[in-house]
Amino acid sequence: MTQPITSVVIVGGGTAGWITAGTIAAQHQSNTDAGLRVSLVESPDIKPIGVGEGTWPTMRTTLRKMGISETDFIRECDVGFKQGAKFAKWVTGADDDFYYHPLVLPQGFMHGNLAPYWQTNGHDKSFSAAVCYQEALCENGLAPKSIATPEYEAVANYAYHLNAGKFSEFLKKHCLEKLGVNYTCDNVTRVISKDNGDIAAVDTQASGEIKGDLFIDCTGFHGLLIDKHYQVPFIDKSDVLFVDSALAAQVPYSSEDDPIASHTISTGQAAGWIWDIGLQSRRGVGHVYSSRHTDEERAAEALTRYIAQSVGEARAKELSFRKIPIRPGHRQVFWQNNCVAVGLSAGFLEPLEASALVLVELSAEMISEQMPTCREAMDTIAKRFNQTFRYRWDRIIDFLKLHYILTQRTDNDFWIDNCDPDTIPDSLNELMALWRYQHPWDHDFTSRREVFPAASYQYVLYGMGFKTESDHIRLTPQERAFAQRQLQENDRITRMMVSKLPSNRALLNKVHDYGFQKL
Amino acid sequence: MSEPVLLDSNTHKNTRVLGDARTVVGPVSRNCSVITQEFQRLASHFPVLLTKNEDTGQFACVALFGFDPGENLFVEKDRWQVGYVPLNIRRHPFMIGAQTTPAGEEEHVMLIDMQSERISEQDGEALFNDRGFPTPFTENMTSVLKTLKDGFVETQDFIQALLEQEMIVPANFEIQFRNGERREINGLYTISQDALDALTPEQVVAMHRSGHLQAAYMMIASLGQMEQLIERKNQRLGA
Repeated sequence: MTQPITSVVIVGGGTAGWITAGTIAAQHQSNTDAGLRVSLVESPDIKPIGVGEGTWPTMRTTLRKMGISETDFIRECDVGFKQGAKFAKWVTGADDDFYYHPLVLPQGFMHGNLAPYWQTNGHDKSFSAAVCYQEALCENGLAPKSIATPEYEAVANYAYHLNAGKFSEFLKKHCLEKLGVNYTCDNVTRVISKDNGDIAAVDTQASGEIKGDLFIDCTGFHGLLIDKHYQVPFIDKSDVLFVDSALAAQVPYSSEDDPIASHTISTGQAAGWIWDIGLQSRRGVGHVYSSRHTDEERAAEALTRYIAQSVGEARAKELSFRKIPIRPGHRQVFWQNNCVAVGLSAGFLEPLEASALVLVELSAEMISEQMPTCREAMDTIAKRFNQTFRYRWDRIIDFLKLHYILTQRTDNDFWIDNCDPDTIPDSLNELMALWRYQHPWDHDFTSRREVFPAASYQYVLYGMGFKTESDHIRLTPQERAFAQRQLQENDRITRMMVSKLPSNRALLNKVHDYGFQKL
Repeated sequence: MSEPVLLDSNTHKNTRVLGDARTVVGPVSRNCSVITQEFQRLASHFPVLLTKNEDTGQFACVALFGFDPGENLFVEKDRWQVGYVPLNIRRHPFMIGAQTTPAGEEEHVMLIDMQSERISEQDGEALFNDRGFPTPFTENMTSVLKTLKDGFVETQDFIQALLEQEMIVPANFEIQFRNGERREINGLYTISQDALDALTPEQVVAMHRSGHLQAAYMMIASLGQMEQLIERKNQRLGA
């Protein structure tokens, strides 16, 4: 007798819990009798931590698959559009030091690599400005589309900045009203095991036992199932990524017409960096730092100084900061027996490339798409899931570290220590050795499990002034002509887009007034 | 920029309007907003489609007059050369405005564009008679404006019903004119014949009662005018 999987129990709400619930319930038609039963139990006492106010473009697909209207989402979750990230003061720390990691691929990326040509010929512009129009859109405060563009479709590829608290509530409502997710608001008191070590049920204070075939731990830093119950070891990465603390603030706009940045701004500080994201009603600003290289007082001073630049000293000093501890790293395995950790219970990294929510989406997607039909099939899928996500966490860690190791800053040991070869993962060292002689390209990233494409590495490497040795670069006349054409085409598209797209705030206002059409 | 003013028997007692409904004034457009009530007459002359207002992203029904911005293949020598001119063209130089009454209610009023080339003090149709009453010309214009005002509301209901039933589909055209010139026309939408075919009997009855079924079929039938429009373009190109 096989044991069919008919019921999934998600422990913990928050963005991780509700994204997972919505993704599984939508695909497996939980709102029909024949569908998979999806239940979520959430503590009334624990407030979600609300990390990850920045998303990836993947969120558009995630929401669309759940049957959510983009207009409702934008109106109800204080959403702003995000077209990538601007890294300021990461290379020299000077006031004019910045580069972009846009979301649009370099022009003609599917057909050829522009990096060699740009490096040998095109130095009147930064790499990202030469090969991609999105930097110009961001610098001009423009939106990635117009009100006439259908929902979820882009003129320029985009993601979102969102209010995580509102987003959780929004998803919860959709999951309960449309997707047939069962909901229990109660505290989980204990885990009831089977002989084989699987979880049979979780017991609650007032609602009795909740039985299930597959359990998903979305309890955040508490790690109720993966940590407290299964005691799966945590792999600490603070030797690679030094940031271990965050101070977060909510900064109001000074007027209703203040521009809303359509990109995340990450500004390097003495011992960390400051994030700055534009929602509709306010900015989310925060300082992540290494407590080994500075202290809370100095970090708070740096944050106040940064905020004062835009709202003045008096208002900056009135703001209160919330402190969030960060322990960089992840679980040794994410799927143990019949339990999967998704979200902060699986691990956490500094929000430098907004990896938190995308990992939730990717986890939910893989669980949903490869949902075991019976317990007997689960161990194979669990093994595959663990391999896939271990690979993904490792690649994200490599990519985050990449942002630090090309700095020229020496004003604090934070930057100097970051360049210490002993702190750089071997996998990244190996790639850096390769890229000294040849430009990053698709064959460096062959896995279906890849999170960042070669384009992302190019944007960061050449944005930070990395030089691939050009002695051996030989471009054929065809390659040269191709690259010239692409750079000209990018120039043309940049001019056209800058003249046509509305400002980010203007589009958000129109979404409130009219909404997007579905087609 | 023209700034329409409130039509008033005193202010405009000497104002006259030159020409007639077929007189072309102002910049020529390649389409204009139309209302469902005129679909039947439009469909014998123009392709009637949906397009999005660039400013709001909202759908509107339009009659198509040409392929390029500012191209109107039905206008020659500043006159409309076609059997039916859409109401939203014929209303010029008048338009509807809204104002708030002292009681705080919104009411519709008739405005006139005094910058229009059709305004005169010597020739043309008088707007008011000696006693300050509207002339038959003005009364006719009032009725055109009222039809349009109500018609745009009904047309929006029609569009809303199409959207709710997901019956709107993009209508992209790839045209080759006889001189070899190729043109891709995007940004136009029509009604999906498949969606119409898939309607349940109950839906068909509901759509018939609301008048939306007839409007939908008129719209689909009017696509046949696309060939006539291409032919007009070919003649202009001298091909």
